[in-house]
Amino acid sequence: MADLSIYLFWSGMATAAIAAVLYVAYVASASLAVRRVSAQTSAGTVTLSTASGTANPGIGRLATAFTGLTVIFLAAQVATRWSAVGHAPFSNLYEFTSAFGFAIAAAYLAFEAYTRNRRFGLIALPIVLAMLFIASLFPSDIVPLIPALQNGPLLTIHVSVMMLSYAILTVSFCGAVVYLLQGGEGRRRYAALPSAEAAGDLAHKAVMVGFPLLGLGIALGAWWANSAWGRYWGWDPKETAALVTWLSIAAYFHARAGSGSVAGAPGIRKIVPERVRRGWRPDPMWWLVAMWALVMFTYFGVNLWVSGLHSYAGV
Amino acid sequence: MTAASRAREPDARIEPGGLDPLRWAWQLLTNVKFALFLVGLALVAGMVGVVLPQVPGPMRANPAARSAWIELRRETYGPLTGPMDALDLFDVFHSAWFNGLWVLIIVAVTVCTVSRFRPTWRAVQRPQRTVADAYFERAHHRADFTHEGGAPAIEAILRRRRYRVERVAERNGATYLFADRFGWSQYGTFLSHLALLMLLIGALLTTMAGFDRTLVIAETTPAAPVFAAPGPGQLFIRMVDANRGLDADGNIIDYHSIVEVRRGDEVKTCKTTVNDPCHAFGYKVHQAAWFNDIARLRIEAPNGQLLYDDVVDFDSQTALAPFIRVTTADGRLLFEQQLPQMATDPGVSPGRDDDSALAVLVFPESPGAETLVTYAVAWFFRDGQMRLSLSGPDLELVSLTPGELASTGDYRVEFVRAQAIPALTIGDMPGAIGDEVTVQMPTGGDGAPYLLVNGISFDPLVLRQDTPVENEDGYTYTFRGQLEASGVSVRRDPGDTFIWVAVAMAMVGLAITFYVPRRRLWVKVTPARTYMAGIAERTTRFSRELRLLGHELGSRDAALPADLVRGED
Repeated sequence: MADLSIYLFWSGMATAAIAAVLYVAYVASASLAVRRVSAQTSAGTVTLSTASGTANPGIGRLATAFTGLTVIFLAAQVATRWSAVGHAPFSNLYEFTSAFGFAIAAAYLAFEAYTRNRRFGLIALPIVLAMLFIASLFPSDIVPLIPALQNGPLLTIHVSVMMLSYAILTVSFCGAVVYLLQGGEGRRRYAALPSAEAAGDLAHKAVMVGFPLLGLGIALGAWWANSAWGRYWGWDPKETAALVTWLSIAAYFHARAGSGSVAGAPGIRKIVPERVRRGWRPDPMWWLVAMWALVMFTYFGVNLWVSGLHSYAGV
Repeated sequence: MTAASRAREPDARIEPGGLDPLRWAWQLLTNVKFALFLVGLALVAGMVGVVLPQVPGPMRANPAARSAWIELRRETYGPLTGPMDALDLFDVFHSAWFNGLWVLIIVAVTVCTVSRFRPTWRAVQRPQRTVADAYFERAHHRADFTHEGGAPAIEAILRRRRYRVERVAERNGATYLFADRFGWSQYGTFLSHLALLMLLIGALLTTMAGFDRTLVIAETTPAAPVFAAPGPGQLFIRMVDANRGLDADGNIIDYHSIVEVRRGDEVKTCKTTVNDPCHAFGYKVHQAAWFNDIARLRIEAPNGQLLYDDVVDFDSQTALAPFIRVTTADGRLLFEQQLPQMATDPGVSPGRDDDSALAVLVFPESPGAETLVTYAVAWFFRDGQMRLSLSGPDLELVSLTPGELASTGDYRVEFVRAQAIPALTIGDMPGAIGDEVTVQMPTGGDGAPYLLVNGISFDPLVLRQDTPVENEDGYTYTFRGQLEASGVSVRRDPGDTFIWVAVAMAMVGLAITFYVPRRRLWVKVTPARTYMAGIAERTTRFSRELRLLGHELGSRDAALPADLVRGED
């Protein structure tokens, strides 16, 4: 079963690579496609060629199909690994990074089906591929579960919810990146990419799912800590980093709710010079970019470089 | 970006009167930009606490240990260490400024919740039903189109979409409608903000009324009292069995303890594991640590009086010793175990840089033989590596590093690795011949631990389990075995219930806020055209929704071409 799991992992990685290339080709086909516009003038018929922005649907369907295959292979990889190790396969970086790749692919596919917009795959699938590549760098040996992790239900639920939330927040990040690439609401720098509105909508819808899930995941971790160590919060680097990630999303929602900067707040605006108050106003979507950087730091940085109570979940 | 930010209804905040500073503080605390600022600060502070090493919990209450720990940081942070320590950057989560920041956040949340309750309640109960005509021209979310059926058709389609529709005015030939959907969902934000207050209550209860004490209790020792002050409610815990489970490959697969908890005459015996604490008398006993570097020692005076019969706790103190394997030339095993230090060669310098540890390696000349072979062994450290010197009757002095092998005519001596063994210096041991006694607890070739004691006799004394040994002065020492101990945390937390209630409130609040599609819509229906403008939170595409509504009503000019194609825009 363990060997089969490894084969499925590599199969998933191969299909993810193909899907990533196909998504690039799909978006490229949109930027290469031209529309000819003809007009009758006094000087005769004038024909102009403009970028149509219409992508090749065949390539798009193929990209989606390969993403679907990736999800199937990786789901089977997780299932067979689970069977081989006898518990949810989230006990080391190989296991939960490969499961993270699966979760991102599945979350992206769900949002692709929901929005019927394939072009975000241009960013999502390379991320999936990168996750699987990183997973392949970690040892995949099966070792017994250490005593601290021997709580089957909570290991499964807590880590699954955290992973799912991070995966959905990754989809949100994809939307935020496209939104910012397009120049923000009402602008469209690149015809081949989704509009800023569609990108913003995806980013926002995904973060509305990911944010409560992340909160739930942190709460489940607190529940586990309370049952295992008798305290629900201990400022452990991993739990603090997850909380900081959650706060960055809370900041995003507050940034959306308010306009301007804190320098314009009552009481503050009297002491902040006008020049500063009317200065740069970062788009709230930047918070989602910061959020994803924090997700990556929480996921890898804390495990690899910071020691704490979650260090057992290391390499 | 949000509709709400651009089209707000009149806000009826509670405005405190009186002193200006209070008004200033109130306005600041209710400002969403200030909330964003506070959240940003908390985020940065949290990251500082994650990235910088933090003083370990047990050292926080021990100034000497804390100072030593801070000194070690100087290697990394150099002259910045002092200022960083002064700013509590090595103890962020327990610093006054960090706690003050969270108090400020909680106060801001409280003030926001209080200040917004009345206007929100009013918005739900008595929403603004009319807007100026100009609003239909400048609202962020708006649409206008022609369609058949007039106001009744609009009312019908909105009701089908779960709107509560009111006809609010008719003037100048126009009919004005107000439609509201899921207005109550505005309370969702309150619920999630109230959850933060509930978290604060829980945390305060945990801090002020909770109990937390960690005890290290060894097997065979008397029951340990839990509370510092004696009293009728005193709890005693006795360690019946402290256990560590290993699999065949030596991987740790289990820690658990069987403990006996007593209060008065009532006794409860239960098992505590890493993930499943023992519950007794309203307290939880958690398995926090496990130790096996504890020995039980019995010392009797020359007159037979019992002087000591208790544990020697090595408390994780160790010394490095070589692990040596000796085989015959044809591969038969003669010796395979740790070699504890028996003496010290102080070298020529007054410092300890050139000190060497000395020991004698003794093994039978062949398996089962009575005749013993003796080699002299010395070891020291250079460049962080143990280097071992070996000499014997048939062996010139050779130097080995871990993994290396020396061959004599008849034997192969392998320095397998350096290994930590429990080692402790004791200042007041009965029968000592000097000021200090060194006790080491290596494991013998048979797998059984034994004690090697320097300082109670002119030669090092080997104490095997349950075998009394008398020194030159007539003191008798008996090693009664290696003990196992568990660190158990005894806790009671009256705040945790509040925490879980807060989490449930936050989840329900977020679910209502995010997933209940609340809409407020003002409609102006004229014979020529229908105008719609509205507010929708959590969507950026309400205008499209309004245009599609017109399309559904049969309008030919409502929808844009892109509206009818889902996705790929």
